[in-house]
Amino acid sequence: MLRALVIAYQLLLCAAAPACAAEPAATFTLPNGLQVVVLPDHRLPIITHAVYYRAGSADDPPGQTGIAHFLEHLMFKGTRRFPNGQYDLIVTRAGGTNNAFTSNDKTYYYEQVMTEGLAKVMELDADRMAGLDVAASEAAHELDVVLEERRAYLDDPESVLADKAGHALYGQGVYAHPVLGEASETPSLTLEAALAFHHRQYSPANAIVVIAGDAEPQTVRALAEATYGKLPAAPAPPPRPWAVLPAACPDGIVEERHERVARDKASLYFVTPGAAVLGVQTAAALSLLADILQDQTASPLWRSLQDQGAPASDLSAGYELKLAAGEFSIALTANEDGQALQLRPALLDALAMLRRTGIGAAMLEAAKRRQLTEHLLRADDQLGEATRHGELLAIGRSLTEIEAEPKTIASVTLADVNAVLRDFLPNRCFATALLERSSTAEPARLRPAPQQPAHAVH
Amino acid sequence: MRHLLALLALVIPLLAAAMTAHAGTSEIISPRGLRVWLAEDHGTPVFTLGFRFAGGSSQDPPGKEGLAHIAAEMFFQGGGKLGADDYTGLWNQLGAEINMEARLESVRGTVKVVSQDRGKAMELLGLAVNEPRLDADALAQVRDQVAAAIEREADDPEAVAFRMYDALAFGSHPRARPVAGTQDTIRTITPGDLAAFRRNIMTRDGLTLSAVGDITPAELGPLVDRIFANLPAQGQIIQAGPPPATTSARSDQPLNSEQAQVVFGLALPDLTPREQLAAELINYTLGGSAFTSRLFHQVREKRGLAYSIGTTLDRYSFMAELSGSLGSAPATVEEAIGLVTQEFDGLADNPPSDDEVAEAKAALAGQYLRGVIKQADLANELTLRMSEGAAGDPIGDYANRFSTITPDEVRALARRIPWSSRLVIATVGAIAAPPARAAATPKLRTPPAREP
Repeated sequence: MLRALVIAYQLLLCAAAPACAAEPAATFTLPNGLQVVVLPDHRLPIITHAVYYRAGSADDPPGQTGIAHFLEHLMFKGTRRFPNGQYDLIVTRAGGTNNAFTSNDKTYYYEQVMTEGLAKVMELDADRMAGLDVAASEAAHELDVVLEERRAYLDDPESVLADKAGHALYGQGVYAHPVLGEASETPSLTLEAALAFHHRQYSPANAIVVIAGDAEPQTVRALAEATYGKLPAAPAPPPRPWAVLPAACPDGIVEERHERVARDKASLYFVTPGAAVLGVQTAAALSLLADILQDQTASPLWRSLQDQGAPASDLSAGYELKLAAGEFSIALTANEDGQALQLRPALLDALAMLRRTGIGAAMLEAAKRRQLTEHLLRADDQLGEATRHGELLAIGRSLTEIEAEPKTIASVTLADVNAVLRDFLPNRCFATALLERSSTAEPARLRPAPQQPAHAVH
Repeated sequence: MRHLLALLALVIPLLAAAMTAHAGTSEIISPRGLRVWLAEDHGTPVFTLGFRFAGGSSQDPPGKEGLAHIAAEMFFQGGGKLGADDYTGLWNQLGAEINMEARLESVRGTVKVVSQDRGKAMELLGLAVNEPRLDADALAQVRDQVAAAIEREADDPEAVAFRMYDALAFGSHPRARPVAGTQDTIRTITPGDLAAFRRNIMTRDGLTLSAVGDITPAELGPLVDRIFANLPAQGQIIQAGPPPATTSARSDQPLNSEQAQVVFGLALPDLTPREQLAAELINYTLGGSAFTSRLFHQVREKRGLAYSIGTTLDRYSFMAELSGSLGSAPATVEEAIGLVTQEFDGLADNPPSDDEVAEAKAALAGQYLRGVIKQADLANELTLRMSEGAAGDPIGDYANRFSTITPDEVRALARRIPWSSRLVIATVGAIAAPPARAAATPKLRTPPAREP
């Protein structure tokens, strides 16, 4: 039975390839430079509408870290046409929901509404792309909300460690600071600075609109012309010279000790070139390598760690591609407290051995099959598909490249994977992040007290 | 990020709404008499099977809390001649998405797989259903994983606040039980307990089935027969009765943290079916709507006291429950709690307006549809609807469930419930922990200075 399951994954390709899809994706660009992508899906009368701006925390001016994210919040605080509160009411009355996210390279806003609500949300987003009208008092309250968001974020020791790792990996570079901003800067962000950021960055030519769901490309085009199309072309946004990072060799060890860490963890981070220079095939090879390394049943790295008797209970690996860098991470969870630092040499030994022996053909074929299957299985996730396309478009991938992803995965060779293992996971130039449970004299662990004194609220 | 996604996840159990377009659900009776609801769709070569057994952690024997959860975790850990490693290895090769979870009143699963692998996936599922292994070593491994998860939860202030609220609000009622059990109770669970769970719960009388995607009725009947028709006809379930209405109480766990976490809520065990629908609409207006609710407006929008705040309405067979959570800096948390209490209090004098009810109806309709976009979510929704005795067009009918509820009915309920005298509140970190003596204590990060 085991052997019979290894079916040629070529069978999985057709359905995922654009040529086989019932309704192919479409794209067009308005005269003012705004790109629109349509991913038709008519199973339900629902449409996801997402606007991506090629502007994120990496574009925060010096001294204003967190401004891209603060602006994200202010985008919901009103315009001249739709004063504060209107946007959310209009979206909910259209049976919809919305949210927004800021990351290093991009910021996106989405609404998911019933079909007939599409025209309205396009009008709303075009309107706030043109400009905001936010009262100073509203902005001040919203900065408090952002500070609460920051507190919630910092209550997770893994977030604190991720921020430290960012500094270790990128030094003073644009990816070094947290998206929410540095503790010394976020509290003094201003409405004026956020509006200046909007003015510089939020223009049609710096945006991509992705529409997934119950819509036809020709209908969307007409709506786009009537809404976004009315916005004048703006001056080009500032260039992003940082998109090609200078070669660097991070080698620091950062750690976070906290009483609320359940299991110690050791992670390695390797930096690769980013999407600005890295080809789709190489990126696919890196993603397949991560898949192979964390395969729960056949990871060669895990096997080698077990042979060594490394005190680890779990291995994970991932590859995240950004515009100026890719981050390849490998994390080991320790069996017991106080072992995080011990895991590091074990992991380095296992990696060195893997570089010598290389990845086997069967492992690669199994990983390809899993990724191609995943491609098909996630097709029903309308929001997920909209954001997957949007994120890749925002870092410069073309719709053609995105739609050809299954073919790209299938074409990755064993030589490709072993080359990225050798070139991008070397035995130097990586950062180590250690998460450790702090050993307090009195363990301050959170436990629900067995007998809580209860008293009346009023 | 504008809004914490975890809050959205809380909303899922009450999938609500108004739609007719998804008319594709039909009922299939298999050759051996099993009912299956099928939403046929050949758009992509992917198929999802849903199965649900009535009776979840509410059936855990005292001292064996966590049994249903561990039984669910053990479900895909081997079958027939295949031990856990071989069995999970085969699933892994298929790349199928398999899921089995215990909830308070059910254990439910889905298998989502590309069409070319359907036969093999169903063969593997059949082994799990009909030839379970319940190996002691696999059980030990699963128990360790559950123990690790319980340990992680114990370090998560919000999760701890939820547990405190459960205990305070529901005492010895099954609703208070932690679905995953405790470190002590999971140690007592044996392969014999798992076998007993299967005898009582995993039987045809409590089974409901659904299928979504790339399969025809002719293929589906024999498929479900092979997997489920040989299960025993009858099991044994103890129906939980309603808990008493909650009485206002508060419990505080000290902690030094950036934010204090607050969980609040009340039981609504005394509602008619129509009142339960009215309660969903009240919940939406009060705190269910992420960005337009009264609580969002008072606590976040007007005062910036919280980043995440929201409520959810859960419906169980024995009651409805309205609960919510918020996170706020220790210095401002009491003000936030005061505003929450005030809004509950205000429901009687200032019940939802016509506009608010209309907004809630439209929004919940859309929310219901958004909740069934993915195949596995639709499959779960269909098995739930069938278990509740729905008929006809299960999705469309449920979507339209608010159509005859009037604003006056909503207001009558808002006035009838003594909200604040039922409100239970649990906090973690609202009170600072006494300073630890040891020098090794980690430094608490100083909260950033606030704008004057």
